[in-house]
Amino acid sequence: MRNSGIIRLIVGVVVLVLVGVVGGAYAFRPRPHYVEQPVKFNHLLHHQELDMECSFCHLYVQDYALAGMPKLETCMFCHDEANSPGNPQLVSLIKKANQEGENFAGVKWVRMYKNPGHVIFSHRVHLRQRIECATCHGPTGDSKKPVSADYLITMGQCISCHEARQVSNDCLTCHK
Amino acid sequence: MKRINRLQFLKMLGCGSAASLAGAAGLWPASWAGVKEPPSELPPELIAEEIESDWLLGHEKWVPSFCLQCPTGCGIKVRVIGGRAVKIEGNPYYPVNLGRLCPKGQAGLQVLYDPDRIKGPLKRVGERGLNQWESISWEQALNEVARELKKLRDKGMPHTLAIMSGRSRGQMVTLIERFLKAYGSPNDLRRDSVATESIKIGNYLTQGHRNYFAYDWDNTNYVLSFGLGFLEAGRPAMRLLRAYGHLHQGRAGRRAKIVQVDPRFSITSAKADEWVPINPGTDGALALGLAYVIIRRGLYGEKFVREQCFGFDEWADDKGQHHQGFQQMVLQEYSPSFVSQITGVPEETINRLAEEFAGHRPAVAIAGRGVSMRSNAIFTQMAINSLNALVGSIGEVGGIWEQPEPPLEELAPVVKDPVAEEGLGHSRIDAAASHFYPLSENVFHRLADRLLSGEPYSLQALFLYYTNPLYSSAEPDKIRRALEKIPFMVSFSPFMDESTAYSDIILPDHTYLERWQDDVPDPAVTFPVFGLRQPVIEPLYNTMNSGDVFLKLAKALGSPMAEALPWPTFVDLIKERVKGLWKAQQNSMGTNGSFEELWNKLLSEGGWWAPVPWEIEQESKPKDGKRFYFYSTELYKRLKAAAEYEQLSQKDLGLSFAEAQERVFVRLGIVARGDKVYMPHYVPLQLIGNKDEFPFHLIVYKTMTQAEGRGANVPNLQEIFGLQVRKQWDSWVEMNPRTAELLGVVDGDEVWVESPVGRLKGRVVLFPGVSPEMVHIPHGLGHQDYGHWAKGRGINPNWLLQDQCDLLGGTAAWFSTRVKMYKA
Repeated sequence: MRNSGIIRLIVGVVVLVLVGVVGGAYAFRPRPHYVEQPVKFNHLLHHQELDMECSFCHLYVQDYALAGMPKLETCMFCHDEANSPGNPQLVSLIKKANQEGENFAGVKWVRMYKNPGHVIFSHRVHLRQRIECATCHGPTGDSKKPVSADYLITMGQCISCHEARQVSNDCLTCHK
Repeated sequence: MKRINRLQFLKMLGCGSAASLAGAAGLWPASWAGVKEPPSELPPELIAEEIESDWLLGHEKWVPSFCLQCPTGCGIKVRVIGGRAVKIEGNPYYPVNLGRLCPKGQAGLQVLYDPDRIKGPLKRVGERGLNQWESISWEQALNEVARELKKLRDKGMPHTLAIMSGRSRGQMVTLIERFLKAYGSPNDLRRDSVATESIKIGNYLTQGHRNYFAYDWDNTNYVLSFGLGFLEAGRPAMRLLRAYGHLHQGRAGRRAKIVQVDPRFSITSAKADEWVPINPGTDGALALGLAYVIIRRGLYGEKFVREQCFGFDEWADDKGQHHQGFQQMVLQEYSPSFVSQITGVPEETINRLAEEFAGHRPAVAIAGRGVSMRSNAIFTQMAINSLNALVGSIGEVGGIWEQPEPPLEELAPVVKDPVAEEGLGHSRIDAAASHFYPLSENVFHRLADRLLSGEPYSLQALFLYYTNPLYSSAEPDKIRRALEKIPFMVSFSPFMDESTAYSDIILPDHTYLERWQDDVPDPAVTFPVFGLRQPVIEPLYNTMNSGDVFLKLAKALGSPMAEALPWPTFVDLIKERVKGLWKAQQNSMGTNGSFEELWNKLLSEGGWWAPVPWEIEQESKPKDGKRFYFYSTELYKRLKAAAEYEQLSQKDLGLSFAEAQERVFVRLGIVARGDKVYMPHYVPLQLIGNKDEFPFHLIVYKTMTQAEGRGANVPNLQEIFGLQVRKQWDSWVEMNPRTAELLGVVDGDEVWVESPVGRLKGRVVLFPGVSPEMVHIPHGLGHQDYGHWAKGRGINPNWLLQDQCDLLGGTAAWFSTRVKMYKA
């Protein structure tokens, strides 16, 4: 063929583009945003394998919209400097706490779930309906990774679940 | 930090750890209307630093209290999230309402968050009535008030201070009583006389119990209601609402019959099992007509009547004089045909009702404002009470009971100094309990006249607590002119109502959801109840509990007020009284431990009650061991004393006892003579206004939402103000379609309603349930102030009412006004 060279060129370019697109799509695929926390906490281990309840660390869920993050004392219930396998941040925090004593400023958790001022949210009401933590907060409890920003809760999720369960979607239910 | 051991860790697990974090509160203010979320109990390190300023911790809790939207005082629980009250529900344990709550109670949040509330102490600037104020500090406000009070006392005029209070109960009443006693003034003016006080007097004369009765609704089989708004503004509201449901559907196989005797086809009339229309003010005749049938047919409870009542049969007194018995009098005078003529109730109905009433025991006859707001109230109430005696419902299952008081701790008596003694020696400014009104405790009716005349003395200072006389009185203009004469007025109201706008210094109270208070509710159940009110949130504004204000004033004034009111705060006074409950040991708390335990349980449950029969035997046995007096020996005693006083005080006239007694009878408007005076009898209504010129009889009735006249600033209540006639946010003039035809008006037209003392323009509502000779205007709107939702909306029918009273008891008889109407 007279233009076999051009055809090969075109095919080659198309293949390259396809490879590029597929490769790029793979490389830039949507991935969970993991927010770096001061301690690499392994939820899967503690929640599933060690069978700890969510409220063991997130203590205030019955009475507050803010369920709370654990104090270092909670971790030190089991861990100490020697007994924190594979978690150098925890070890150094414990060391720091032991050194500083009263002046220890606590673990600087990065707060992921925030309750804005125009929303009245009651954990208690939802717990009473035996809704699992994972229903709203995602499979955090089954993950080794830190909490992902993708599982942050928006109003749309509240509304759709309320609709599905035929619970009030009146504005005043949450915005008093 | 040491390693934490298990015990410490478990302690930490308990919520509400002690660390109070004022700093945290500063970091997380809530963004609603300036409400701050209170300090959290969470430790600071749990709250990450990157939080922005308007994220919430959302602490939620339920706080018990009791409602103030009407005199019932139902127990409530308030849901608080993030420092803001978000919902009010009924307290399931509180005996009066058992978890239910009427719309007024539910709307209480709008009282708390009313944007027109007074936010701090105010002092008048310029003339009275211009409504110009400057904000002052509490210190300055209290100093000024104390200074004025001190001046009066130093001048030897403590009796010229009057404190006018509304239907308050609990320790505020005690405080005010003690304050005035120590200060030296007899003028503890309570506004009870403008409502259903005459019912209390009727109860007192027949059964020795000067209060309303409680009813054992759980077991009643027949209710004969003379104008009591079961489903509207009758009190105790929530108890009656529940009773209605319970009586009809609460007991399998048993349904009570509720009969409403009422000139108007009200909601209660509509929902009752039978409505008996009656000529207004003739309920006494109907009751006696029913008594006739019951007695004649032998349907009365012989044992009870003969053994436990006095005056049924003829009797002779210790002088050997023969007295007519109730039986004889009724049979002579109140035959059904005669009664039918007076009341407009057909004879067959009278016969049938009497048979039903006596044949379906336990049966109760009960009355409301329709009876009490009239010139013949007391005798009508006595007649209605006699029905209960005839069927033996007094102190029995399903009948009427006296609710015992809770055993609060007694307080040390007030020690008075010579200034106080002298001050207390003066007569009250309203002539109550004097020989003019021998049965009264308060005579609001006389107050305006006496103030205007300046006799026997002028008032120099007036405190207004929980009352708004410039709105809620008949002839409000007369009251205003009377109040003009008082140089110093202080109001404690949290709202700028008409009377508060007229005062000189405002010391705003907290609203009921923000303050400590206590209550012994109006009789509702058959056992003693004590309610505790606690702040559900921190006070929103710079207001102060009026109890604390009185305590501070007492301290500032020094001896003897400071000793009479020694408590540092109002809560301390409440706690001292509660000690009596703790000592009693027999109660709903289930704890016989320390006082602290009892107090904490009170805080978590909202009240104390003792559902076991609490020495009821003792309470309900009056003197002489009789339970009911057909012939009221008490009334005889009082009137005799009044006649004797008349003889003495008019010595120069040389009156015989009979002449003096005649004068007393005439002055008190008693038309009967002889034995009949002391027995229940029918007194024709005294109406004001010439029938030809003023052809219509005006009744001012109360809807459920405005039962206390306080709901006008609450939007939710305005929305449902006139559900029955489909009107909202406005008053109306309710008339029969025939009346409208006569006047040439149609539904929605404006019409002038004019009485001998005033006139108002309102919108017509056609309602066949109104008698053609009557016109009804609902109470509650027509404010001239009180916030932007209340101001200038609707009409206040009090401007039409003439200030008449039942002279015997000194109680207001405001259902006595005739009016004329014409198209506007």
